[in-house]
Order: sequence, then structure tokens, then C-alpha cells
Amino acid sequence: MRIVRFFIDGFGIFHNVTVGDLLPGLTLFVGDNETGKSTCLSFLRDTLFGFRDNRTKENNFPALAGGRQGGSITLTGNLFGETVIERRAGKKGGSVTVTYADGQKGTEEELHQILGNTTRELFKNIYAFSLNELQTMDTLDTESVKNVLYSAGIGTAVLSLPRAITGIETKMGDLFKPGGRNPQINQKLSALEAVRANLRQARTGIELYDAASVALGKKTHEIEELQREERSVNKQKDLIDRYLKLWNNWISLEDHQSDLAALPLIVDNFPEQGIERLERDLERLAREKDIRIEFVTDLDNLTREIKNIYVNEKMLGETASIRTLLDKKEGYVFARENLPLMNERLELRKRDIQDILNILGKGWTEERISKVDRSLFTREAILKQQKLLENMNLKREEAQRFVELKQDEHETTLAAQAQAQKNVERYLDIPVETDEKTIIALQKGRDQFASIARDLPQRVMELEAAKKELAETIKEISPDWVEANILDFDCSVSAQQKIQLHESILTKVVQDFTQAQMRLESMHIELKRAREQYDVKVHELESMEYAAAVSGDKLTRKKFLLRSLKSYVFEQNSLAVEMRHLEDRLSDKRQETAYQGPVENGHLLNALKLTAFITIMLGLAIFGILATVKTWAMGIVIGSMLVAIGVMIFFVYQNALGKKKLETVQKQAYLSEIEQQVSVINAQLLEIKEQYAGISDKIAGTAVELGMDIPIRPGDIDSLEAAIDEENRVSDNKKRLFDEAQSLKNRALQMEQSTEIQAKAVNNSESTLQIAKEDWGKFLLELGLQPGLLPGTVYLIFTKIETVKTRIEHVYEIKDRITRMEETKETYLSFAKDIPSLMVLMGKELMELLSGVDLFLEQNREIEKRRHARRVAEEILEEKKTRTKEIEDALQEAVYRLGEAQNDEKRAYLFWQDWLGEHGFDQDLSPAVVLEAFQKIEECTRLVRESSELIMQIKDRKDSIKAYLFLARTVFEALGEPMPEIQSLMTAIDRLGENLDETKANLIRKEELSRKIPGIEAKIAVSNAKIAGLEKEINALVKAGGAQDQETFRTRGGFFAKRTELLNRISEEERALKVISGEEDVAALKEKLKTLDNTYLNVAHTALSEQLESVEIRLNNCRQEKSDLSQEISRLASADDISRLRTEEEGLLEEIRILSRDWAFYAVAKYLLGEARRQFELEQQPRVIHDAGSFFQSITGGQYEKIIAPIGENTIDVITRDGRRKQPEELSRGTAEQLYLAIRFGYISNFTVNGEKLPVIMDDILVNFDPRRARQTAKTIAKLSETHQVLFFTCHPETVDIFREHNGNIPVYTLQNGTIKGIRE
Amino acid sequence: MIKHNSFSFIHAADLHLDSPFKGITTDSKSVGNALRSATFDAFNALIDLCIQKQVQFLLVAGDIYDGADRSLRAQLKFRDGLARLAKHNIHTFVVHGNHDPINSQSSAIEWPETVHIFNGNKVESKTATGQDNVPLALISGISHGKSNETQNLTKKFSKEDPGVFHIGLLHCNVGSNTGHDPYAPCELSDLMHPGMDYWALGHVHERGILHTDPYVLYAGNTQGRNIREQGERGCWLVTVENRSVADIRFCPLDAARWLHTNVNIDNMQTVDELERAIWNNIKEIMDSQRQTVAQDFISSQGEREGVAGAPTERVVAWPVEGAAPLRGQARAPTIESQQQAHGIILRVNIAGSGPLFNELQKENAVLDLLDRARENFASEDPFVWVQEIEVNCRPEIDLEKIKQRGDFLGQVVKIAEEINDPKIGRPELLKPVLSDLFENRHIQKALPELSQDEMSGIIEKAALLCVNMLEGNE
Repeated sequence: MRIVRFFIDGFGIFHNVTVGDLLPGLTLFVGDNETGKSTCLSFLRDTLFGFRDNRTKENNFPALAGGRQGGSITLTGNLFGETVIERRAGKKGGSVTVTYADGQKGTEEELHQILGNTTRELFKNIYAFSLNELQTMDTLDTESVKNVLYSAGIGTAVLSLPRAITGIETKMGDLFKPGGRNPQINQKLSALEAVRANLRQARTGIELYDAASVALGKKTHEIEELQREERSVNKQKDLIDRYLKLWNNWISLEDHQSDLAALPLIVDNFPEQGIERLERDLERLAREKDIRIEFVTDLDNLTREIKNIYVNEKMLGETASIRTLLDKKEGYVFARENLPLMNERLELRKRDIQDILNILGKGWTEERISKVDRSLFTREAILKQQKLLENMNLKREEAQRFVELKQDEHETTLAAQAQAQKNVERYLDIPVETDEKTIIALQKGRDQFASIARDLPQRVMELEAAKKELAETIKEISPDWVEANILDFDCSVSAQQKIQLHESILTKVVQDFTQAQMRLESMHIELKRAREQYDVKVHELESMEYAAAVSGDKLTRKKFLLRSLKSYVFEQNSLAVEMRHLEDRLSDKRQETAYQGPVENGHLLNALKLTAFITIMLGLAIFGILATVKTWAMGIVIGSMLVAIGVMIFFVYQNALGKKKLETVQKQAYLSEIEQQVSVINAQLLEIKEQYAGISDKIAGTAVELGMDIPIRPGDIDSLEAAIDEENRVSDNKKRLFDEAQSLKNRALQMEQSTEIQAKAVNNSESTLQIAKEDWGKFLLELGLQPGLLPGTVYLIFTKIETVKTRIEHVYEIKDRITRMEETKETYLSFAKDIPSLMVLMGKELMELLSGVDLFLEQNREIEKRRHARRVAEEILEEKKTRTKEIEDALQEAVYRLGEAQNDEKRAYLFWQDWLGEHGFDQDLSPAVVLEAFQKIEECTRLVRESSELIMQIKDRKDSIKAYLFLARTVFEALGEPMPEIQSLMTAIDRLGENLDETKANLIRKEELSRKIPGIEAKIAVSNAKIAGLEKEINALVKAGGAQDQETFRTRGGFFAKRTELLNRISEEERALKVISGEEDVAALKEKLKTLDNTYLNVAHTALSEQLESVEIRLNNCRQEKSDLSQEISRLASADDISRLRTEEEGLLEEIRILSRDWAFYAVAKYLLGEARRQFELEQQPRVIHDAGSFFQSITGGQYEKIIAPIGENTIDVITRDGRRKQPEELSRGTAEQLYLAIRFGYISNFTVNGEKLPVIMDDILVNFDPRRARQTAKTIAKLSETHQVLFFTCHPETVDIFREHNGNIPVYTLQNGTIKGIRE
Repeated sequence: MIKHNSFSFIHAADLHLDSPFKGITTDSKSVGNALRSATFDAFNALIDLCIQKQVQFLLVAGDIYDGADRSLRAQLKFRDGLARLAKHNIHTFVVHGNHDPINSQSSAIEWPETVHIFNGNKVESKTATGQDNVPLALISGISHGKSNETQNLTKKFSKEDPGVFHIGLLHCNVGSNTGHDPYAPCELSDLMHPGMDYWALGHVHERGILHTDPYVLYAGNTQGRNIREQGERGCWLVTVENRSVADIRFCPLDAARWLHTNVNIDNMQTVDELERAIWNNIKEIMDSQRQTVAQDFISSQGEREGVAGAPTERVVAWPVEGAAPLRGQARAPTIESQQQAHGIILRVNIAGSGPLFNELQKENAVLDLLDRARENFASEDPFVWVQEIEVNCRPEIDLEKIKQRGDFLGQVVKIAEEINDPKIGRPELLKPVLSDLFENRHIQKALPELSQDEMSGIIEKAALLCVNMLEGNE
């Protein structure tokens, strides 16, 4: 695709500028600064992708030199032919018109399709860029750009590579960090350290146990000793304790015995408790005598009192009468006082009765009143009559009022009815109605008819236009095609999928083919490299051959011999040591034999024997010599001593002789044993010497084979060993080199094979490509399209056909609509015919007919309104009439009810009058008056009853007074006293009562006292008998005590008691001594006690207690220590610390093992990813980057070899000629720009839009390049222009020259003062 | 059932009392306690067996406890056990091994009179007697005097014929490929002393009969302590008639048994399915273990009642050069169980390939499975403790195909394969990668170096992780 021309109407400084006849390939635009190069670049970009509005910060190039902002670009391409893109400033990037070569117009959407959906961003940054875009990596780093740059052909996996590596590193960090504390393995290691430290501690258990066991033994012994001491001290202390306990009893005993001896009179017999008994009897006697005196006095007093009591016998005879008078006294007094009052009350009642009779009127007497029926029923009957009468009266009045109400209502309705009648009469003149159905139809269809009348002609025109347009569009696709071709064409998804399939196959196959070629190329290089490496190794190996002459087998043999030699020498040395050892032992044995020496010959024994003999002989001689002298006795003593000494020496001699013999026998046996041992050692020595000789031979043989000098000097073996090691090392080196060379050779061979396979693969891909192309051709035929079309083009045709199909549908739609309109119109007209005023208009214009219809409908609406009003008035009149009728009925009913009420009232009144007559009342009386009369009659009856009762009471009182006075008189006469006056009668009667009570009391007292006398007399007699008995007892006791009188008796009793007490005490103390001491022999004990002293005992006791206490303390301590030791021992014995810790240790080790394997697993995974990335980056870069590398190499003249896009990262590295890797930031500005340019070229050369290549526009991008690189770059651009149209803007004439160096025919345009002119040279 | 001129004894070794289980992590208190007491429980079972079988004596061929642990508790419990035997007049002959050299013993422990502990200086011989002091056997033995005994102790045994059944009691390493430390090294030929009828050996934890004339036997340990010591563990019950071995039977004693099981995820769609499969496997194992115990119980019952029980034959040979073939012998070693039910420590290996692989890579997925299995089976009686669920399965991803793709992941897979290929492999490349952790001073004190196999597995898993992270879980 290329730009053929462009026209700038108004854009920045340009107005009405046309640049035409642009050619494929490179075109230069030259102009000074400010002549509009950037404006031109922006115009091209913005016309294709939209103008910027005022909101952007960037320059939006308003039309400064006139014209309307905008212009057009004419593009040409295989797919769409020559197409004009015109854009005018406006909203949303401005309005676009796409005009195809045939004059057809396209939408902005189609423009996007033409540009292959390239985005503004991609176009600006890759295809149409200035120095601004070139200078920074950021422009390549936007999402849409980088996705296409970095990831083509390396598999999707790498996109998540950095994430995967980070994930692995995190996991490794969780497991272990050198010097860390928290990662799992670090934690476990710390725990392990701790457990192992504890374990070391716990392993001292056995030493502790052994030490504790020894200590326990010692402690047990110590305790036994202390226990013995404790027992002994306890025994002593017990004895002292016993004496101390006895001491007080012992002292008492002594005292009691001396008291007994001191008593003056000994009384052996005496009545038991004699003294006490005497005293007790004497006391009882005295007490009895006092009692007797009391009784006699009592008797005298009683007799005197009885004699003094007085009793009135007469009065006792009148007791009953006096009691009656006293009882009725109050009744008598009350009757006398009450009588006048009662008379007065009677008079009052009589007056009241007369008053009531007067009120009731003439003819009413007490008798008549008593006959009146005053029952409750009568009174109830009156009340009923009263209520009935009132009720009837009320009803009648109510009926009266209702009649009056209804009469009023009747008058009102009559007036309303008359008014309604008048209203109805107002609408009598309405004309006759038209057919309602027709009117409704006309009304309803009016709007639709109106719209049809208006639209129909337009629709018809529209249909014609659409038909025409459709026919033209079909012709566009193919001149032979008609509608049917289009409808039959298969645009289904499956057909599109087929194209996609073909396209993807084609793309894939092409890509595969290219890749295979590239791979083959790189394999050739690798192969070459491998062969070179192999040659190097072989060379190294060859130079080695001379250095190492010893063959592997020989070396092995040598090593074996050296090992044998060493072991022989070692054995020889051991044998030498053993030999020396045996010789040492042999000489030891010989010395031992020598030390034992020969058997002793017994010189000493003989000397002993001689001495004994001489001594005896000397003794005998002294006997002989001294027997003759005076001092013979002395001689005998000395002589016999000497003889005795001699004999003793002889015995000693005999004893020593026996011992000596035994020793000799033993020594001989020992010597023979040593001799035997010596012979054994000699035999061993001989055997070893033989062995030694044998080994020496072996050593000599081996040394000869090894080429060593004999005898072997110290250090010989070591130096030989060093020499062999050296040979060994050389041999190893050789082997390693050989192995390496071999592996390189293998590698080269493998690579050769791989290369062959790859070459075949390239051929295969090529044929596959051919087949894919043929398949595509067949498919095009199937579709009915001409062969040679690209898939992109077929897509466009598909799109077109889809558009045409839509248009055909549109035409059908319009046709349908017109038919429907015609039908509706006809129906409407059929209704209009029925209306005469409209009938006239039939056949005229539809619009005229429509206004006729409107007029008719308007008139009809007015008539309808009046008709409606009359209907309403008639309805009201009907309603009023009905209402009047209803009211009249109600009035009649009310009048009838009133009559009935009046009758009822009258009947009730008559009935009341009859009742009055029956009950003897005046017939004029009202029920209320009759009820009042009943109350008066009631009161009068009560008063009459009260009067009769009063008369009876007065009579009773008078009778009782008379009877009382009579009884009083009778009593006074019997007592012989005169009847007192009435006034003092009551006092006299009271006095009589008092006298009577007194007489009765005296009588009772006298009888009581008389009854006591016989009892007192009997008590006196008993007392006398007791006194006599006691006196006899006392006399008998005194005699029994061996006394004549009571005084003597008392003295004897005292002595007897003292003696008895002392004897008892002595016996008690003796028993106590026996019990406390535990001794049977009390006498001996007493003797022992006599020899002791209390003070001594106390001192001894204290000392022993202290000693015991000290022993016990020591014993307790020892026991505690023993128990501690036992506990420690059993703790140690049962301690499972080690078991627990070892288990813990093993558990931790296992955990560490598992975790460390996990760590290793991640570490290896990380290594694999890293290594794969490194290799992949070096060997298999995305195509874009690969090609960019080639461009970069070319631009930099080979100073940089390669560009690398690290896998999975959106960055770029460059590799210098000497293999160093650099980041873009490390490059100079010029080189960085060249790098970015190369990347753009890498992309541009690899990607097409709809199979076509977009033009490339560059704005003065060479300014920062040095001349050499600028030239290189120009060369590269020129090469690019072989496949792409390139428009290059510059302000440097020399740049033009550079380009012209390669091609003098490059077209050049100049920009000047808002014009762009072509220079044809 | 002692015939005339016959007696029996028990040969045990490597009790390793109170030494911990390796590679076990448990939060379960009951399981933890059971494991901690397992070596003691096995020892108690040994003592019970001696008493029940009325053997004449017990031989213990070293490594009774771990001298490095210096566990007093272990020594005292050992003494208590032997004291129980003393009450039944059963004598015990003990040599110490490299783990419990004689100098690591407590001096304060008093041993019953029926116990003889051989010294570490020279070979001693003791006569074991039967009723009425009739000599039954001569037992010669020597203990290790230090923990790193490098002498060939068999050389110290004299060649003689004592006229009774002669037993050599020794803790030693026969041959060179036992998988155990080469302490007291010797060759089988060293043990061919004329006059020696039975060598009761300790040190190698797998039981085995190395030779039959004379008999050379390792008893193995009484309780497996790590995943390498799987299956039943116990002692030999030997019957001697007329001065020759009449019968040898193996008697399991272990209180907790190490086992493993494989589960294949092929065709599995959900974690639930996998969990069901694991649980089924565990239940099968439990049933089969219960049945073994039940059968053994029945067979031993039968024997006691005089019914001819046919104990399952199980050859337990340990491959040692020069060992006589066991086939054709009159009596092969057989199981005779007196054993109570034992707990199980289980390692579950998930193998195969399928979509479940991705599920299992999710954080805590395997841990959750493990937790649930533990929760469900740890409380069984006897317990089943799932020690580990090892994920060795693969995703459904075809790494070969990915490699062929030639894209980034293809490169990853290719590098992993190259490193892991023994022909062109360069594992030293990974050394600096792993040095942060594996060259850490503390780690070196805690862990052995990664083995080639481990490294290989790690590399493969790492490659799968990369594929999974970059492609599987987008």
C-alpha cells in the first residue's frame, strides 16, 4: 500500500497544497526549519487516524493560512484500489469520507479495515515517527507495541516466567535462608542444635547413676552406725528417766514411815466411823426435840380461835326471801320511775292518728283504713297504669310530628320536578343521527389515512432509488452478478472459518518454513563451532601423547606393586617389633632364672646349731664351776638360763630347717616352668625370623620389579609413590581430555545428523507451503472468486457481500411497506363513500378528500355534544318523578299511623277509670295522687298499732310494784324489824344482804378449824417415841468404842484414824515404786535409791538427752540424704530424656531431610528456568528481535552483533561484537536511537496489513547519527524502501546527498513558504 | 518339649534398646509412645518367649543398646529382663558390639548370677549346664572393647573340641557388602573352626543363615527402626539334639513393623479416588497382618496341643559369598509366632501418571491426604501410622513431546534431561545451585549428601514443576 497523493486544504501553515504522483519506494522531502515538515507528518497521521481537538496539549494545527482544516490522502492498494481519504475538522476526530475509485463512499469503519486495524499508537510509534518518538524506549514500551515485539514464536509459557521464578524464590525463601531465623529449615536447625545440646547433658546420666550408687552405699553404712549409737544412749537415758520418776515417791515413803513410828497410842479396834456416827446421832436427837415443842404450841392456838367466831341463825332462815328482794330491786325502781312517761307517749299517738284521718277526708276512719288493700301488687298495678298512659301519649305525639315532616318534603319534590321538565323542553330541536359505525371508522382511521396520503409518494420514490443503488452495488462486486448471485453466496461462519483456517495454515506454514531455514542456518554455525572445538581438543591431546608415555595397565600394575610393597614393609616392621619383643621377653626370663640363683646350702642354719650347742655347754660349765663357790645360787640361776637359751636356739634351728626344705622344692619347680616358657619363646622367635626372611624376599622381588635400588632407603617408597601419583594425574588428565574430545566428537556427529534432519525439514516445509497454496486456490474456485486473491482480500469481499445482502433486504422492506399502505387507503375510502358530503369528493385528490373528512368530523362532533346534554336532562327528570312518587307514599303511611296512636291512648284512659272505681277511689284521680294516699294510710295504721301496745305496758308495771312491796314487808316482820319508809326501803334491803353474807362466812371458818385438831395430837405422840429410840442408840455406840463417856470415845477414835491413814500411804508409795521401776524386788530398789542423788540424776539426764538429740539430727540428715540419693537413682533409672530427645532429634532430622529435598527441588527448578532462559535468549529470539538485530548490526557496521529480548521481560539487551551485554541506558544517544530504529525496522519488515505493507514516514531521524552510521542507516532505509514506500523528511541537504549516493533518481520535494513542490532532476 | 539329650536356646542380637526410630515425625501421642517403647516391647517379647519355650539359655550377640546414647534406662531394663529369666533359671550369655562396647556400661548395675557378660580382652568360654549340672554347651565369646573395633576377632578364638555343643558368640561383620560398618571384620572362612557347631552372630540387621556346617547365623535386629528395615524382625529359636542342630525357627518379636505400599494413579480422576485406593491398601495390609498373627496363633496353638501344624515356610537368606545354599536342608527356617499384634509404620508410594498429578502439586494436597490417613488409622488398635506419602507419580504431560516442541519449555526439559543423563550428565553443575543449603555447616552436621538417585529424582520433579507452573496452571 502506498500514498499516491495528498491534498491539504487547511492545516497549520498549509492551505490548498497538493502533493501528487508519489512513487513507490523512497521519496525525500527537504525543507528548512519551520517550513512544515512536522506539520506534514502530523497531517498524514491525523488524516488517517483523526484530528486532535482543542483539549489536547499537542499542537492541533489550526488552518493558519486559510481554508477549512482538513484535506485528503489518496492511497492505493491491491485490495481496495485507489481510495481517497478525506477528513474535515469536527467532533470526535473530525468527519471522514472514504471514496473508492468508482466513486462509492465508505465509512470511517472501512478506513480502519483498510489500515488493517492498525492503531494510532502503533502507526505513530512504528510507521510514522519523528526524532521525538525515536529518542526513547518508552514509545516501544506501550502495551500494544511490546506485545508484538517480544513474544512472537517463543510460546506463551514465557509470559509467566518472571512470575514463576519469583514464586519459586519465595518458596525457597520460606524454606531456607543462609543466616536466617524464620524459614522452616533454619528453625528446625536451631531446634536440632538445642536438642543435641540437651542430649549431651542427658548422656551424663550413667556417671551420675554410678556416683549416686556409691554414695548410697556409704550413706547406708553411716546410718547403721548412728542407729547403734542411738540405741545405746537411749538405754542409759531410760534408766535415769526411771530413777527420776521414782524420786518423789521415794521421798514420801520415807516421811510416812517416820510419822507412823512417832504415834503415842495404838488403837487397833474401833467401830467403823465411830466418831461420825456419834455426832450424827446427837444431832438427830436435838432436832426431834425441837419438833415436838412446835406441835404443842399449834394445838393451843387453834382451840382459842374457834371459840371467838359468831353466827346469826334467824337470818340464815330468811336467806331465800332476802335474795329475791335483792334480785328484783332494780326492776322495781325502773317501773316506778317509767310509768308517767309512758302515759304521756300514749296521748301523743292518739293526736297523730286524728291528723291523718283529717287529711284523707270525710268518711275515712280507723276502721276503713284497716280495710284498704295495701299489698305490693296493688301498688305495682297502679305504677303500670301510670306508665301505660304516659307511653300512649308519647306515641301519639311522635306520629303527629312525622306526618308534618312528610308534608314538607312532598312540596319540595314537586317544585324540583317542575324545574327538570323545563330543562328537557330546551333540547327539543336536535337533528336526526347519522350511521355511528361509519363515523367511528372515519374518525379512527383519519390519522393513518393522513399519513399515508402524505408518505406514499415518497416511499414509492425511495423504492426506486434503493433498487437502483442495489443494482449498482452488485455490479461493483462483479459486472456479471445479479441479486441471485449475491443471495446464493455462502457467507456463513463456517465459510469464514474455512478462510481463517486457510489463512492460519498459510501463515503457519510460511512461518515454519522461515524458522526452519533459520534453524538450519544456526545449526550450520553450531556444527562448525563444534568441529573447531573438537580440533582444539584433539590438538591438545596430541601434544599430551608425548608427555605421558606410561600406559594405563602398567600404571595400575605399578600401583598394585607399590601397595604390596608398602604392606610388606609394614609387615616386616611389625615382625621386627614382635621379634624384639620376644627377645626382650627371652632375656627377661633368663634374668629371672639368674636372680633365683642356686639352692642355699644352709650356712646360717649350721651357725644356729653351733650357737645352741655352745650356749648349752657354757651353761653346764657354769653349773659345774659355780657349784663349788659361795655364790652357787647365782651360778645355778645363770647356768640354767644359759641352758634354756641354748635349748630355745636349737628349736629355732629345727623350725628353719623345715621351711628351707620346702622353699627349695618350690624354686626348682618354678625354674623348670621358666625354662619351658623360654623354649616356647625360642620356638616363636624362630618362626617369626623365618617369616621375616620370607617377607624380606618378597620386598626384594617387588622392589626389583618396581625398579628400585636394594636395599630400600627410607624415603624411596615415598618418592616412588609421588612419581606414580604424578603419572596417575597425567594419565587422568589425558583420559579426561580424551573423554572430552570424544564427547565433542559425538556432539559434532549428533549435530551433523541434526543438521541433515533439519535440511530435510526445510524441504518438507517448502512442499507443505506449496500444498497449502494450492489448497487455497481450490477454495477460491469453490467460492466462485478469481484465483490469486489473498485471504485478506476475500475477507473484504465477504464484508462487501454482507453489505449488499443488507441492502437487498432493505429494498424488500420498502416494497412491503408500500403494499400495506395501499391496502389501508382502500379500506378507508370504502367508509367515506357512505357519507354524502364525502361521496362528492371521491376521485379527487387524497388531500382534498382528507379536508372534507376533517370538516365532516368537526360538524359531527358539535351535534354529538348537544345530544349528550339532552340525554342528561331527561335522565334528571325521570329521577325527580320517581322521587315525588316515593314521598307521596310515605305521607299516606304517616297519616295512618297517627290515627292508630290516638285510638290506643283513649283505650288506656278508660281502663284506669275502671280500676279507680273498683278500688273505691274518685275517678278523677291520677295514678300519682292515689300512690300518695297509700302512704298516708300506711302511717295511720302504724300509729294505731303503737297506741295499743303502750296501754298494755302501763298495766304490767303497776302490777309488779305491788308484789315487791308485799314481799319486803313479810321479810322485815320475820326478822322482827319494822317496815322502813318507801324512800329508805332500798337502803334497808341492801343492809340486809350484807348481814346475811357475813353470817354465812363465819359459819364456814368455824367448821374448817375444828377439823385440824386430831392430826396435831397424833404427831406429838410419834415425836415422843423417836426421842426415846435415839437416846438408846447413843449409849450402845459409846460402849462399843471401849469408852465410858462420849469424850473418851472421841479421843480414841482420833488415834485410830491417824494410824490407818499412814499405813495406807506407805502401801501406796511402795506399789508406785514397783510399778514405775518395773522391779519386782522393791527392797533392793530401795537400797539402790538410798545410794543415789537427785542432782546427779538430773545432770546425767540432760547430758544424755543432748547426746541423743545430736545423734537423731545426724541420723535424720543421713536418712534424708539417703532418700534423696534413692530418689535421684530411681529418677536416673527411669529418666527417658535420652529416648525422648533422640526421638525428637530423629524427628527433626527427618523433617530437615524432607524440607531440604523440597528446597533442592525448587533450587533445581529455578536453575532449569534460568538456564533455559539463558540458552533460549542466545539461540532463539523472536523474529522481530532477530531481524532488528540484523538491522542494528548493519547500521552499526557490525559493532553490535545481536539484540536480545530477555524472555518474559519487556526489555531489550544488546550484545557487542566482543560478546558483552548492554542495556539501552548504557548506550550513547545516537546508538540508542539506532537501536530503536532497528527494532522498528525489525517490526516493519515482519508485519503486513491485509497482506500489504504500510508506508513508512520518518521525520529527520538521522540528525544525531555520525556520518558513517548515517550513511549505513540510509543504506538500510533504501533497502527497506524496496518493499515499503518511505517518505523521508529532512532539513539537511547533506542527508539528501547521502541517500543519492545509492540512488541518484530518488524523487525529492521541497517545502517552502507553505508550499511543497516536486523537483524532477 | 525337651527330648533326651536335647536342649534349646534362643539367639538374638541388635536389640538397640531405647534407640529412636529414624525418619519418623509424629504428633500423635499414642503412636509416639508406642514407637518409643517398641524396642523395649520387642525385648519383653523376647524374654516372654524364652520363658514360654523353656529354653536353656539366651544368647545376645551385641548392640543391646546404643553406647552413644548412654541410656541408663535401657541398661536397667535389660537387667530387669534378664532378672526375670533368672527367676526361671534361664541363663544369659552376652557379648557387646560396636554400639555398646564394654567400656560404655554402667559400673553400678548389678547383674543376676545367671548372666555372663564376656569381656573385651580375650575370648572366654563358659559352660551352660542343664539339670543336675550336666554340661550342655560351651559358649565362647568376646565383647568389643571399643566402639571402632577393627581387629578380626575370630582370630582370637582357639581351635578345639570341648566335647559338648560349642557355640561362638560374636558381634562382627562377615564379608564386605553387608551394608553395615566394617567393625570386627572377618570372612566366612574365618568361622570354619573345627569343633565350633554354631556361630551366633550379631551386627547385620537382616537375619540370615550364612552357612550350615558349622551353622553361621545372623539373628537380625528385634525391632526395625527405619524404612530400610522393613518386614518382620525377631530371633532364632534353636533346638539341639545329640550335639547337633535339630531345628531352627524364626520367631518375630517386633512391636511396630515397617511396611510400604504402592498406589498407581493411572486412570484416576479425583483425589477422592486416590484416597480411597490408599485407604483400601492400608486396610488390606491391616487384614493381612492380622491374619498372619491369627494364623500363627492357631499354628502355635496346634503345636502346643500336639496337632501337626504346618507353619508357613519362609526362607530368609541373606546373600553372602560362600554361604551354603539353603535348599535341600532337612529343616528350613520357619516362622513360629508367639507374637502379639504389632503396629504398622507405612510408607505410601504414589506412582503412575495422570491428571491427578497436578492436583497433588497443589499446596497442602498431599499433606491433607496424609493428615486424613493418619487421623483415620493412627487410632486403630494396633495402630497404623502413615509415615509418608511419597509422590513419585508423573503428570500426563509427555515430556518428550514438549522437548520436541523446541520452545522455551522444550528447552527446560532438554536441559533437565541432559543433566540427568548419566552419559552426558553434569551433576557438578548443580553443586553451586545447591551449595547455599547443602554446604551449610549446620546442614552438613544433620544430613548426609544427596545420593545420585535422590538427585536424579529431584531433577525430574523440578522439570515437571517448571512445566506445570508455566503451562499447567495458567
